[in-house]
Amino acid sequence: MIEFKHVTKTYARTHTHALRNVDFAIGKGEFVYITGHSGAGKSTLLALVLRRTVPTEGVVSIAGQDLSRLRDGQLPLLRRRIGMVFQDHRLLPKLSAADNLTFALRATGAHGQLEQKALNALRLVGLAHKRKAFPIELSLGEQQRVAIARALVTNPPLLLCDEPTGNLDPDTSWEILELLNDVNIKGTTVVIATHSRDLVDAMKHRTLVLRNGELVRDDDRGGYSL
Amino acid sequence: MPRGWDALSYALSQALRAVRGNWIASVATITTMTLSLTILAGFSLVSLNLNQVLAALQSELEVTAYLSERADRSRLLDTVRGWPEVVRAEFIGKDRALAELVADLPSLSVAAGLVDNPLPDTLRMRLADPAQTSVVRVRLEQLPGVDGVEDGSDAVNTFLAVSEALRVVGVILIVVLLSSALFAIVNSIRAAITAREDEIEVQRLVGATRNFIRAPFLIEGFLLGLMSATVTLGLVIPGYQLVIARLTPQLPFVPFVRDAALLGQVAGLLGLLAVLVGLVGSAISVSQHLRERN
Repeated sequence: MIEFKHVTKTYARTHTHALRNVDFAIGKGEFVYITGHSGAGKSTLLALVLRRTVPTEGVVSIAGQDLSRLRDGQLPLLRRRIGMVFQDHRLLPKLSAADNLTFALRATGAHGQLEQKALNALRLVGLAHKRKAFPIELSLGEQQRVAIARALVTNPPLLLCDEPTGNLDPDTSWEILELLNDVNIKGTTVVIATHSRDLVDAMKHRTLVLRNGELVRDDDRGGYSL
Repeated sequence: MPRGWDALSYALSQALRAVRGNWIASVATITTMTLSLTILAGFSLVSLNLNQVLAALQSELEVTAYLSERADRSRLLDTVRGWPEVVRAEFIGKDRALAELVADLPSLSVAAGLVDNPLPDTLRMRLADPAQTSVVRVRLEQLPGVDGVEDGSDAVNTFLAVSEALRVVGVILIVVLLSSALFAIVNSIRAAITAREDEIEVQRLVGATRNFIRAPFLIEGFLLGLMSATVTLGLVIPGYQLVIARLTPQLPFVPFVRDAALLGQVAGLLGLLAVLVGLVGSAISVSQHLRERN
């Protein structure tokens, strides 16, 4: 599904080598952690998958499509196939939980029964009863669940999570992880970028370890080891 | 409901929400645009009236050739009637010329009886295009039997010079005023974009097309332009009617523009201009933002 071939990313302005000759492939339906210290290159890797930036060298492809060759007009179609969850959830504060989801649905050109689709996605994360609540009225864990529901409401085959439990306590983190695992079991490919040892060790899955922009470990058995 | 209509009505609701939510900036933009458009409209109306006065002056312009005693009148008359620039030519004998003068200035009637008629025979001509006056004048002066030529071109030339100067000033004014209106829209839409930056970021991440992101801002620019045009026309049209109603008794010889169709065209053009400025201004802002964030 996702393939990195000899990918190097250098930020010319700061002369920073964010990634160096990174090679890996993630198959459909996998659950993968990408770990490493801050500055190891995790966020750059996600930005490359979202095509928010392009590699300096090498090829990033999704479903066989070289992302560097995508025209600007094709970008929305790529991003509709990727759900994205951030550490700071990025919910719109003036919209209710359900409206945050219908907002995303409308943006992707979805049509008809938007409220029902939003409710189904909220039900998936166990928050159907909080559909009218505004983000400020939700706990941090609930906010992150709504963010996951928003990422899933368009049924993307790939879910990218950037430090999804960064702001959460261990119990809530575990709940979020279980939720993401359930999503994966239903067929969605899940990629989580995290520096949290607890998270990676709590539920073992394939783990890619980055250090100073290099992929230093690709372990199917998982576990946090830098 | 058709899909396109659904997206359009959503964009319209977002634009209206932005105009209402950011009403101080909206009012400031509409005020700036209204000021610019009002000055433009006023200038256009003055220019339109000057053109009408000029056209009236030109339509009354005649060329007069003074003939010598020995001039072959009928041959001269045939010659000038053959020129394509001349639409009407008439021979005025010296007796008729004196009679016309006395009719215009009755006080001369006594003097006219005491001396021989000092006026020459003349040829009076009306031209198809008053701009050809100097060409016809040169040609007349070369004809045998013509002692002198008189036309009203000096007055028309002065008027034309004033009109040309006004045209240049008008072009400069249009550029300056439209630029200020454009900047007002660009800034207003930029403020609206900043206020909705989080929403735009989410839209981009979930895969909204550029047109979907642009649409509410383009509609907002369109609405601001439309509102400015409406306020401007609400001020200018009654204002113009009031001014000409006041000026007509004092300047009865000035043919003020009153043609409703012509005034309607000016209003339509002004509205179109305002809406275009709104659309272009918002397009500039959104494109700039999307380019920076891509």
